[in-house]
Amino acid sequence: MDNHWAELGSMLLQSLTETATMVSISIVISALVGLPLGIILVITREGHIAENKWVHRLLGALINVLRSIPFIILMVAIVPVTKAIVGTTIGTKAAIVPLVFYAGPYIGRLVESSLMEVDKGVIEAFLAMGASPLQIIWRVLLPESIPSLILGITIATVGLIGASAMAGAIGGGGLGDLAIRYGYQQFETDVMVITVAVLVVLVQGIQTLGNLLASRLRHG
Amino acid sequence: MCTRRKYGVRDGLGGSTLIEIKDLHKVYAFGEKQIEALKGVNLRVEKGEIYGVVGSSGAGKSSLIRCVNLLEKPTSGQIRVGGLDITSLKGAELRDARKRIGMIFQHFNLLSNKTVFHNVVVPLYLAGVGKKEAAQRVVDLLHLVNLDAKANAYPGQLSGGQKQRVAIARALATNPEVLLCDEATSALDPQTTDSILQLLKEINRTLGITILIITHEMNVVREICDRVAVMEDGQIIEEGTVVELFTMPRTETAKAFTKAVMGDSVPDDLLNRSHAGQLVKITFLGPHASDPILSTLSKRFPVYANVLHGHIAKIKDVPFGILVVELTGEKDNILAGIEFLNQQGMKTEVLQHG
Repeated sequence: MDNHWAELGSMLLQSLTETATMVSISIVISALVGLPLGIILVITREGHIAENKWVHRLLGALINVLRSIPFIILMVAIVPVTKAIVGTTIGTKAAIVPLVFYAGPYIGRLVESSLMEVDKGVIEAFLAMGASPLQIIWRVLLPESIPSLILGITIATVGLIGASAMAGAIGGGGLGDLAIRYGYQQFETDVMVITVAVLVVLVQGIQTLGNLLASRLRHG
Repeated sequence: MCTRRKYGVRDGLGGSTLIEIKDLHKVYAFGEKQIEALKGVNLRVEKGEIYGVVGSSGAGKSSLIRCVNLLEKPTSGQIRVGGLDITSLKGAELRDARKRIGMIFQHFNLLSNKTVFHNVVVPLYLAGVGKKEAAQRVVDLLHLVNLDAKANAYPGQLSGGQKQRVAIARALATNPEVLLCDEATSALDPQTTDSILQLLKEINRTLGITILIITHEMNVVREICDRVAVMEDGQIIEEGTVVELFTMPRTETAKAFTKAVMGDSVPDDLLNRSHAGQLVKITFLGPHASDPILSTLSKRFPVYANVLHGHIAKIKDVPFGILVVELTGEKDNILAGIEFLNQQGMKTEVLQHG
């Protein structure tokens, strides 16, 4: 019995580490991809600081296409891309590529909606001051939407934890994989329950942290 | 122009033109529909003056002021600020020109997530001023707008008037030659409006900054402007010194605007009653407002003056008043008396012959 719990413990720890690795690396890369996407989507809008109808439409369409593919299919569909980037198609590292394809465009949309909330009047005041488009992005759009951006990243992180569970299908490991392999396929209900409980705590913790940080930084 | 000198309203410094707007048109297109917001506006603002553009909402005054720094691109026409043709500028040249034109807005437009200090320092950073120098300048600016203690506050913790003071400090940071005020007091209560207007007047006087202000509030014009233009339906329909506008409004719009603030209308019951003598409305302006004019009148002519109604106000710093008096005496004496008043620089109007 002791042996069983010890084994379960070490399995949980390893899965947790795998999930944490997948999610943290993916969220960083996704944010680095999604932030510029969201910024471009906003500033190319009609009447904004770098209006460009074609860039806006094209980018919007591309994001919509990526976002409409179910993650499980996306994972398989981009196998050649994964292979080209990380050199392998299985394992935790390989799972990061489809996770970024999944979360990058998603964060792009979240960033877009955050930046849209920035008061047009403030942007105008900075134009009147002689600020360049880059200065407006850096001095107005981003600082004014930081709390909202943090909430967006929090939502995306939680989404990634969910998606990373499916990455088990390509040997990505992680908590979701553990729950399915032991809990579901081998009828070890206790493993499934404990794993799900760990996921619940993880998601709660991340959301609480995100909310706290956002409210700390909001002064408006 | 002679009215300006006569009543001591300050002339533009050397009378050189700072903002010159020529035949400005602005057309907005909403699909098929086109709206002509500006229909050939011409305007000259002299260096050092406070120039007001007044009009109802939809008259085009907001489009006009937003064209001056090209926040709005005019459809045709020319705008020169300090000799520089703004309408021809693009990119970095336009941004440099904008740094010489400050602007404040109805809704303040401050960064809500940044402190007062940061809000005021930003234009200095944009202009490439070093951190240390910029910090010192912010201290001076906050002192100028009377917000020394609020450097670390966030806009959300300030009142409307304080927010506008921050916006003014921010607009002045780069030492602009011109300050554009787009309905800057329209979101403020009357008392706060007054304190902001006093601040703008002080800035104009001490720093010599030319101010172009658009407003629908006539009391703003009366309080601080030197010259004023009345706008209606995309055109300037009347222009002159503020004293001229208030004492001799020519258009119906100007009359309606001035009447509301001056309260210089004569009560109806005075006119409806019949009087023994002649009912005369006397308009005083400038230094004469304090002369003992009625006593002098009675001493020099065998005429009695009975005051029925009176009102004194200030136009910028010039006192302005009206009196409705009943003059009794011999008809010839009354006529001579009125003539005397006219000679003294009063404006007289006979409301009722005795």
